Amino acid sequence: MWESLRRWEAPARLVAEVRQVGKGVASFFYSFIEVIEGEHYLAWAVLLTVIALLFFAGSSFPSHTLHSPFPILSGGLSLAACIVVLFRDWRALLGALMAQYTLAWLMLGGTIRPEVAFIKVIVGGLTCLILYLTARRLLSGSPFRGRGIAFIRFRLMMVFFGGLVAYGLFQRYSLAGVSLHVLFSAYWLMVMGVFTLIITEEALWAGVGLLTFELGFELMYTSVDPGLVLAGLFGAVNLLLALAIAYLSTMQIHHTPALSPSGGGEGRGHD
Amino acid sequence: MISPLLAVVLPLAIAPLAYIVRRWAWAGGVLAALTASLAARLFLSTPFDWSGQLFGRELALEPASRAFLIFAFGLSAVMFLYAWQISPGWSFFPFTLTVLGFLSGALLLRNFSLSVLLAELGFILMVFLVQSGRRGSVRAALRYLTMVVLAGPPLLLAAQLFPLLQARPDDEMLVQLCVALLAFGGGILWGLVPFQGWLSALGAEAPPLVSAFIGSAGQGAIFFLFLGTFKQHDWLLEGELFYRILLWGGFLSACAGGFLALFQRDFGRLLGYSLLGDMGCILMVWGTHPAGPVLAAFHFTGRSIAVVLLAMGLSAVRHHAGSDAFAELGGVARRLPFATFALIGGGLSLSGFPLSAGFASRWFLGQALSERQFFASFIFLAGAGAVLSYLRGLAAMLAGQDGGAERRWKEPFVVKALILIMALASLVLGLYPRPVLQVIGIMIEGYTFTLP
Repeated sequence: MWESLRRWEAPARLVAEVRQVGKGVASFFYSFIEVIEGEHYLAWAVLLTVIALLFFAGSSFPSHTLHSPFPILSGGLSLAACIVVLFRDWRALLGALMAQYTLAWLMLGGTIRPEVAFIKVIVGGLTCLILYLTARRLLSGSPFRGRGIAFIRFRLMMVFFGGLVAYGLFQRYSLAGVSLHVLFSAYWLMVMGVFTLIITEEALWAGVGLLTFELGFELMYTSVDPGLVLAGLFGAVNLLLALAIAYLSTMQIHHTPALSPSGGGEGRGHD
Repeated sequence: MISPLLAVVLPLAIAPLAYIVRRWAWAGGVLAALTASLAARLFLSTPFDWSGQLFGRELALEPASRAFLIFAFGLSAVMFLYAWQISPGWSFFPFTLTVLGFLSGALLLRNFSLSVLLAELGFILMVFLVQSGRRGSVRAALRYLTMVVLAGPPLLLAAQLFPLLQARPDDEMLVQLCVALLAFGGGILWGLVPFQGWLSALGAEAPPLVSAFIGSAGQGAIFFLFLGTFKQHDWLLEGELFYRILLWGGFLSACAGGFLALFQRDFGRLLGYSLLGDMGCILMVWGTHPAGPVLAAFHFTGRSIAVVLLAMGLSAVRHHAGSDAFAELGGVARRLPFATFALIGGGLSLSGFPLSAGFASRWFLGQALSERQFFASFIFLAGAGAVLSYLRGLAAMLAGQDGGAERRWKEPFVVKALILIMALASLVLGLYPRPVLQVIGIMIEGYTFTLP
């Protein structure tokens, strides 16, 4: 009987089939990663944003919220935060950061005084401008395509786990006076910001992660305490943070061959 | 009547001037030192229980904060004069003045949220000082920046709970949440276990005077901000969680600091771990004795003097030898006797070696913990690892040939004089601690508490 079991080829065939399917999925996954890290990633990013927004608007929240802009804003913020974890390209990072500030402004505009909410987008614009000028001067012409498939897989895994953590926090810890959409977006931004800090020691990338984290917290906190002085101080913190990040990027990149514009784009700051 | 607001505005107003004269270290150093001294004098002249309003915000200068600010500005004046001789970078004078302005503003405000944000602004500015124009690794500066940003949210959330708790003081869950958030934020800023990573990086990469400023004025400001908050919201001290967190957080940090210090081979990282172990001792006592805040504040005084003394020596040694690794400091003790004395003396005092200021304050800490022998023994054991490492470093500096001898750098007169002044202050505090303790006791009288 043992011999017949040994000869029974069904399990082996099953394993082979599973392997084939696995290879197919992995191959699709790799091509997907190559595409999103390739030349046309921005187009893909826009497409994915639209798909994600539709998904969020249609299925994750009750149907009556379809008429409210909040699910779409929340989805946009979440996606922008994912881009911060997934992409190394400074253009994508800064684009996502600016998108976050704009969406945060739109989201807060409906719940607090518009002038206080508007501070966010002004500060966001200045912050992104500071980082843009720094990055353009330091990194213009640098390909920065990431570190290879394995590292991207790791980042995707981080996004997945980050999402789980954010969802867990959202389910467990609510804050009086903060709407569910704001709370969900705030947790998502904060968790993705922290996860970005975990995966990199590059000052610019980590800095964008820090700003994402800070924005997530501000989103939550400003809903509870929408004072003008507090908003101004948060704005000052953001601007100073941007200046510090720009300064540290300059100090780091000018000295690291792997990061300098002429030194190729592979590799991290210092591993 | 002199308003302490003047003392807050003064360093902020002088900072641009210090920036303009940045090319001339002597001008920047003297200007910054004079400003810091004047600010200390202004704080000294303000009425004992000053309070006021600014744009509708309540301000108050608590006696403890007042004493701390006088001390911090005085200590900074000494550091500015020293930085004139061995510059930690042109940014040191204007940025340190600005940070001092922000920190004193934070201690003056009665609103905890605004205080935290002001202090955060100051700490973010410190990042520029930590890097100090050095190209290459930004590990220390980035870690510090990360920790400062991560520490903000828990503290601000705790501040949001204060009004809720005033309405529902019996809600134990809410009190515990508030205490846990404060402990989390404070733990990050003090670099306690498990957030100690930035302290060693800071010691290794930042200019020693900057590390000393963060270890004395920076961490001290947080300590006094917390003291004021606990006095204002005394229901925070009612549960046992507060004391447990302080005791165990302090114990773990003291053990980790002492243990890790034992294996260090350079003075920079050793400084970081010494600060960690020392902070652990402070917290252990703060949470276990009714007079804990007084003893902790006294220990802060001795620690600040010791860490500045150590930083003075380390700056000179790095300036001369270009390194602080034990292996590369052969013979340096013979060429730089004052710097070596400051480095080893400050280090030993920070670790609680007998006859130093650190030992005197640790002795009091040990006495306060006499009912908990297990923890009391660790007050001294935690310092033993660091003491051994400083002695190893001294042995390395005494042995061999001086590799940096070709530079022919000699300790300037100002350097020697300032080292002697700080060493004398440390010695006096070590030999005659009671008068200082009494003064601190009067200043912090209202902050003592009854254990639950």
